[in-house]
Amino acid sequence: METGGSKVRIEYDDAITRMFLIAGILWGAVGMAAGVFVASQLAFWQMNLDLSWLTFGRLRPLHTNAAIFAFVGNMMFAGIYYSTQRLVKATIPSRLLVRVHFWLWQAIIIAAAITLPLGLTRGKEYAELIWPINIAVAVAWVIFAINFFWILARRNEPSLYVAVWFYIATIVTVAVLYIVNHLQIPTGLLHGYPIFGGVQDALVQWWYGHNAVAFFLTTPILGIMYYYLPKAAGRPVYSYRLSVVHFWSLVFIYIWAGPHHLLYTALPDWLQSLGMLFSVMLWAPSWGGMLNGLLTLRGAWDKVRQDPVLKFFAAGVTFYGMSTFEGPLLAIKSVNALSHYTDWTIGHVHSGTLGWNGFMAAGMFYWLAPRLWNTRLHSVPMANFHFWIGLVGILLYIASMWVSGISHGLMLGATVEGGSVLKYPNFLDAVAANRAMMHTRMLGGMLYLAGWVLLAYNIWRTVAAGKPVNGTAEVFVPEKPAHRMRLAEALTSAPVMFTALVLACVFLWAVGWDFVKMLALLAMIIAVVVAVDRVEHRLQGWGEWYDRLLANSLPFTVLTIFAVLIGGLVEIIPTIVMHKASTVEGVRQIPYTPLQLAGRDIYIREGCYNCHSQMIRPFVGEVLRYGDYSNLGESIYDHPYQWGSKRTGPDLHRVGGKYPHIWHLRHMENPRSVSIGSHMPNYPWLLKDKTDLGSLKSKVDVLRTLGVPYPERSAEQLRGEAMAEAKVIADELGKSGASVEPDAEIVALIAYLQQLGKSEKVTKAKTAAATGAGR
Amino acid sequence: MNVIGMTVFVGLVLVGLFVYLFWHQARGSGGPVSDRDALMPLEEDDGVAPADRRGPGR
Repeated sequence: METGGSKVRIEYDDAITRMFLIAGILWGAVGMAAGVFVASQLAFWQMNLDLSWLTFGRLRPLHTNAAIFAFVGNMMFAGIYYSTQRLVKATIPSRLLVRVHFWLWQAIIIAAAITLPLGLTRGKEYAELIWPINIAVAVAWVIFAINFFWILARRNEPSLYVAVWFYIATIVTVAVLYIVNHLQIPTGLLHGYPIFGGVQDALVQWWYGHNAVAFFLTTPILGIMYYYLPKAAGRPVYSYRLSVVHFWSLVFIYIWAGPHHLLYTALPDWLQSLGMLFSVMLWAPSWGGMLNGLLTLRGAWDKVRQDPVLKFFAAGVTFYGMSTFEGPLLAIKSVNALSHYTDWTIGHVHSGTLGWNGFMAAGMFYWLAPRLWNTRLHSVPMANFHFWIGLVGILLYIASMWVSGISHGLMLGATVEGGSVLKYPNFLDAVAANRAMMHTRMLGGMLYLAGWVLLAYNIWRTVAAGKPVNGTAEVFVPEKPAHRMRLAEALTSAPVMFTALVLACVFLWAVGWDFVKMLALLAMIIAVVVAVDRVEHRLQGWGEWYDRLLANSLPFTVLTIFAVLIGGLVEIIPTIVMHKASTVEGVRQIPYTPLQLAGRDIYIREGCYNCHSQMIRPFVGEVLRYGDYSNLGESIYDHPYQWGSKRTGPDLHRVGGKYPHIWHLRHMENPRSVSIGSHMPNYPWLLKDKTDLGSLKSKVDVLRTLGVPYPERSAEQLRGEAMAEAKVIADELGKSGASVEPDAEIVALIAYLQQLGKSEKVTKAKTAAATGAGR
Repeated sequence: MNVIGMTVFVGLVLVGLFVYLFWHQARGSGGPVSDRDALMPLEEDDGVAPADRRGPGR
């Protein structure tokens, strides 16, 4: 306990919370409006307006990035800065640095809003932003981390509350995920290639993509739940001990689940199984957290009827429970076989973002605004109306996506005549069948957006009626810190050693030979029994140890990093260090010609991966529809990989050679001219705009550095090769009645599309020769 | 067959562990993890100060 000290009055810096709150509301409206707009494009293809910067492929990343980083990001920062200052009883040390954080983050959002519609993208979901913006994001995150840990360093409350644990996990994990998935080599000022390719890129991408959901959209919001829900309900969290179990099990298990986005793909099977197993295990901590949140409302349910803040929180936490039930369900391989590539996944994601993130944000904003401006909420009935209109919007959205997703999956997989013929051979049959669901989804989104506009108006009127104030508090400043724990002491303590021992035993049990397996199992059982025995007899000591840990942020943070990193290391390192060219399963991708490479970059620029996969799964329906299933070796030189995650249109992995060049030209010019009922946008500019051949030299050089076996060639040689190939295609198009210049973008794109699915057989001798260059 | 045996074995171990821990918890000898911390969010600010351009401080 404290040995002495004094009382001082501090004034919290709430101006930064006000800034992030307003930004969160504005960017929330922008992100949701973009969502409604892209939903309208799926319902009515005409909404693409034949403008390159307004097509679905370019705007969908704008919507997802705005929803995640602009809306939830700003909301998270507002919630964290406000609650952390009060939980640790210290004010923000540098007024300047938090404002640098704020303005840099807004500049990043604006840069994203400009570059994504222009087609400047890395071609990886939720990681589309180009490398200069990536660096800015990393700098902004570091500044955020400095601000946060600086507040902790100056804290006057020794013990860290559970919300702060979740904030710590968020900060350290997002930093690791973001940096690893954005490792790349620039080819120019606005373009770069990721250092990972093919299966490695796929694994790293979904390790990041899944955990962006986990550590950007979930853990910070759980921290916010643990602070604001008790605050609004006026009662402490249901079980503080359950929150301990919730935190450690969640941060440990979550990181392993990424491969469930790649089930039945060419990803090695052991990784798929791990991803599924840990996804199912996530049920327990997720529901522990949900129950802890909902049971906090015990005895306060009468308030929920009147108070819109509690309504939003109760529904938000319920949606957390529902989406974390649905997530593991979708990660079970047999369910995933149906749901993957369909709208079911889209509905699942939106039950999380609209229901969990959006409603928690609304509840927090309604709670904060009157306190930050020292007034009453302008209209409680309006906030209640927002709740109901938003709820109806979400339900319409996710129900329509269930119907669309399940029917889409069933129709495309359906066969007749003993599984030898597709029941619906035309992909567009499934599109037409779900047209009404596209309209319903759009309506749901519009209702949700309307609710958000009401929130913006309600809070604007609240702000107009009040005056900005900062909270003040009298705090006790201890003379010297109590409960000091050194890092070495924390790492060598009995609970940590027992945990490490059990994990080591599990690892040996999983990978060892028979004898080692049995030994590891025996050791694990003994370790668990001894640990339980110690919990029984030394409980006081272990509890006190944890209390002391909570008063020492450095050991706590280091242990959190260990818990988080174990899963990533086990899954990613074996895949990254493997010799790519030696693990191609008998088939290897042929490196792209210069023209094909230019065409591929156009494919990525237009965001084709948002609607088309390049990964055929080993199912009868897919093989009959698209061709032989995809092998690991067929994308090893793809930087970035383009396996995709959604089939709004058909898979393209084996589209090469399926149609003549003229079909592709007509299809890109006006898809409905060759594919009646298509809802793909027109791409008329591809017939006029010139292919960028000037950057080929730097692109090929970077890819060679990354292990693609290209010979050394000058810029002139590359241009000459590209133009020679383009002339052949343009001549053939001319004979078919279409006159285009050889350097038109459509020619390069056709060259790329016609190459898809082409590969070479690999003998053992060839593999050995390739391993020298094929890392 | 091995998989079924292992699943049953691990399942029984987990069930046994949960039953034991539940019994332990129900006996009322729960750990001393500080429940006092759970009260932290309930502490209210004791006043407000008009926000000015200079910003807050001690």
